[in-house]
Amino acid sequence: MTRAVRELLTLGALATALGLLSVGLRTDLLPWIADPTADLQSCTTSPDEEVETADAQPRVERIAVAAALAMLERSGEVTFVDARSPDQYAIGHIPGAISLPADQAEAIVAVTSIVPQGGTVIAYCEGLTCERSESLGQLLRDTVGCQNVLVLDGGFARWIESGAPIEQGSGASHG
Amino acid sequence: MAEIITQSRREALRTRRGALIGFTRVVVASVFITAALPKIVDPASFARDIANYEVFPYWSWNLLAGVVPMLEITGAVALVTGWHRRGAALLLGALTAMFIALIGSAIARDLNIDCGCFGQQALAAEVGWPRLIEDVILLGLICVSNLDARRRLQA
Repeated sequence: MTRAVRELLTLGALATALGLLSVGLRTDLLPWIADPTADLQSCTTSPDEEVETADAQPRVERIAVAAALAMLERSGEVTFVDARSPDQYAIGHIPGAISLPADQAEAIVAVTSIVPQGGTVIAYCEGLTCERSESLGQLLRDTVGCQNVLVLDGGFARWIESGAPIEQGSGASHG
Repeated sequence: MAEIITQSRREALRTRRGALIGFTRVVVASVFITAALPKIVDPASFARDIANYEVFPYWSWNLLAGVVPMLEITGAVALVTGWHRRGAALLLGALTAMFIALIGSAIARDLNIDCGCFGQQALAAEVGWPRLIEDVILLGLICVSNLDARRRLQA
């Protein structure tokens, strides 16, 4: 075994021990094992259930693609808000969705109040555990005061996978 | 006389080379310490960044969120202090290679996620080609930092 590899193993063992110690000493901040359902909650999950990864604000409830699609088909019940960039929105989005890029959402919402306060609002972004929809959902719920805010479980990626309809262009964009 | 001039020139070159390597080590160590501190302060956010890559099993998210910043800090301190320097360069190089692979896979899968490179701080940025290029440059700097500053220059 070369000297460099021996040194690597020594440093790796030391750092791993320190890392495990830091997790062990701070289980209030970070449990040993993450809750795999934390980012995949369905809309039927009780809001009292705590997410194990620490958050200052309670997380927004999830809704499955099938349930969101059913709501979309009963038009008027739901408003989708797209937390992705305007470019991604233009390439494809959920029919009728409003573009609210997460990094600009605060200013946009404060100025234009474009998101309706009645009815259900579903925020989504790209991927399975994308945090942009979560932060946008919290903003809509806590700052704008929307009553029924949900986050699309699996985001736009799962929406496409399920074969649900999409719309193209930047017509409804507010970004 | 000519030999004395050549020798003093070689000495000057060696000093300059040593200074450059030393500076590179400080830069590399600073990058890794800057990257590690926010992750240590807010491990839950970093655990979510890890989960977002959709590569690691759920039971490893929190453990990696605890261990990876410590690997970064330990490697950085060892590199800059000279204790187990070669191992430190190898460790930081392996970490950076892993980051490059992760960012590359996220780009290939068109994931729109934060890279988690510097935690959730102001330096946090979306996964993409700029992050990949930054990491490739960092890997190059790590290679330079692993050079032996005292090695004799060839005549």
